[in-house]
Amino acid sequence: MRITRQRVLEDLRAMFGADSISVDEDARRDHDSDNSGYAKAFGVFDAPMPICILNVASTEGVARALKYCCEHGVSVIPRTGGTSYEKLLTAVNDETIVIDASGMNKILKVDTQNMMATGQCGVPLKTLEDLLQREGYTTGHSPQSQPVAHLGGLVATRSIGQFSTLYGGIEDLVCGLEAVLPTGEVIRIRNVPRRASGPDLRHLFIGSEGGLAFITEVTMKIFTYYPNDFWKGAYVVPNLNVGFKAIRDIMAAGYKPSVVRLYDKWDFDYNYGSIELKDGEALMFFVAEGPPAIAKATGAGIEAIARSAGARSVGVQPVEHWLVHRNDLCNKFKTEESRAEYREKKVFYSTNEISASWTDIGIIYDNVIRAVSEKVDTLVGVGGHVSHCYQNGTNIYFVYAFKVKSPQTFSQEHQKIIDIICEEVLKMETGGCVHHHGMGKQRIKFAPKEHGSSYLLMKGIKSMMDPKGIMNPGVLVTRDQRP
Amino acid sequence: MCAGGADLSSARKMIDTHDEASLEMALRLRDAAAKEGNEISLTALTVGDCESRFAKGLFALGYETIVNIPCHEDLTFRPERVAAAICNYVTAGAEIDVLLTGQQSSIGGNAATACLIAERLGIPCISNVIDMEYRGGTIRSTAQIDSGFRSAVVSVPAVYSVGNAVHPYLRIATLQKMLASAGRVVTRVAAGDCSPRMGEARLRRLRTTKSERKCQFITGETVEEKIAVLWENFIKPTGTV
Repeated sequence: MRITRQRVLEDLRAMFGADSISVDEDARRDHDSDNSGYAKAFGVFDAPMPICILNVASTEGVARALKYCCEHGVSVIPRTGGTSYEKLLTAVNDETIVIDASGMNKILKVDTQNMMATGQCGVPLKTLEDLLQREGYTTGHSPQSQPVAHLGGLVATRSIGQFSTLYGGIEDLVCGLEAVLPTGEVIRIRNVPRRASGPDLRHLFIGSEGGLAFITEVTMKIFTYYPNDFWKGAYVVPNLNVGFKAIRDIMAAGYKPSVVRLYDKWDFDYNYGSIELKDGEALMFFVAEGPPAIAKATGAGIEAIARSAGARSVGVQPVEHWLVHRNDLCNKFKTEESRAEYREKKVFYSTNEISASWTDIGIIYDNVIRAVSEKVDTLVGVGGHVSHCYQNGTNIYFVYAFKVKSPQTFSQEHQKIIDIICEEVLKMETGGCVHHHGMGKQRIKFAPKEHGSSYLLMKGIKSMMDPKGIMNPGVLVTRDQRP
Repeated sequence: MCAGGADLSSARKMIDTHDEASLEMALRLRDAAAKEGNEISLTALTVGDCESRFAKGLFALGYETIVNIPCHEDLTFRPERVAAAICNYVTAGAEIDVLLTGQQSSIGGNAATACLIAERLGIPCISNVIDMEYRGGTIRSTAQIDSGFRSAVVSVPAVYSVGNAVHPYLRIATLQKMLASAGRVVTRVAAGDCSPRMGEARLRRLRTTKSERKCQFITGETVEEKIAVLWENFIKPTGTV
């Protein structure tokens, strides 16, 4: 017989004490933070309400909670900073509790000899970064959510930072971790620099979206920080394709700037507007960092390739403006100000990040812009920018704004645009429809196409690690393929 | 900072909040009139620079005409010149029944422009307008006053100076409407004679008024001692506690 919500509450109160349990209605309604923020601004809450929010302060507490939930078939949403989108945190059934470990916020160790830092899952990245920078180090990890995100979620979402072209994504930065499996076992992956003892088990957890385990502790690499030796350069290119080619040439030549960005006009005007771009033009800018000689040489290499591609230098001001304002969006995260703006303007702005090879990316960009413009009659604008580059390709962060017909239809209207973008991307051989936000529940329907024949591996991993299917149902595998 | 003041060259230009509110207010009046089967024609006018993206957006929202009166001098603290340029445009033959302005700008704000326009044109001016309603062919405005709010129907033509409006945000046009209005052109009009008129107040001199404050440091070895001194010497004698 299925356990009742009331029974779950009573049991958890007995196990953890009433003070650890929140049944506050507003907190439960808003359990997924800024997800569906537009609808929430109008008082429309269409997700099931979790039974409660259980606040835990230790790995042992997480283990006890998960063991209980596994035994009784209670769904769990792991949460720390609560800053993810893609409905990653959104409940999909009535038998869900949120386990919030944001109280596990201790920085456990900073090891400057071995260049690693260890923190609990609830450590805010900004706290760690500020501490390191005071000592002359950096995590190198700077997603736009840096002011508000926590370590556990950053690993679970397979996040990436604005300086990733040099430092790498979170998958390149994690040394080891501790996690709790759905059945309650605590596992630890040690901080070994590299091992060839079978497949890399860290990757079972990095990007697991809370669907395989609860990450409780993370050890990351740290780097020496050279903030006074940044090289910066900004260029206007006649069109985006010129920018794609220039950046491809820079990467293929072996240069590794920390920041690479290429904006089309709509995206740049909407979000920054610090210089004037003509129709069709794009803005490309870079930051190179590291030991002074390396930063200087990287900068010189970028300058030469950019100019030979026909780019026009516009100085460093656009870069400096971006460096100051790049995380301003976090100031509006989950604020009444942003919700008041939704109610007034009835316009919603969002993003979808994708990736592809150099030969496919320009085609994808053109196809997505055309398809979204043609198919969405309430569209205010669509554009995109490059922000993370690799030897073999790049991402595009598509951005769009649309007038919302009604709060009740908001989810469907938004999903329509997401679907258009993903469908266009997946038409291309190297198109990946999720670059770094996680699939969540918003893009999960595309999981079979995204993974192709390897999708059976994802299903197998989910089934093996979460046999009862309690961990964040709705992520990693489509709902008809849950265990 | 740079020589001559703050470097604003990278700052994204925005429509001033009060101007934005007045643009939206005009659109709402038009929508309300249309519901009654009446037509309101909208003209947006700007003195000084005119960003093309703002103009494109306003055309897409349904402004029939956008007028720009270029002016290369610094208009900060020069409301009389702004008012004069606008009045020259109006008196040159533009048929304007309702003139909405933003109450004041965030830089150099003086809240004087609307009043100076009204004075020159010899028409009423309603300040601090927070809302306007079109009904039955008339316009009722609600303005914030010291003691609360005042609602009135004023015969046109009149100037309305929009302050902290109930609906402060300018709506946004869809891409389709932007594309449909592509190619529309802003009308440039010369400023004309903007010299002050006889009888108009002219700034002759500014001087500071001295406002000294008396300050006394409360000394004591401990917090308790300082509190005792504060109580005995300053609070108790006032009899307020």
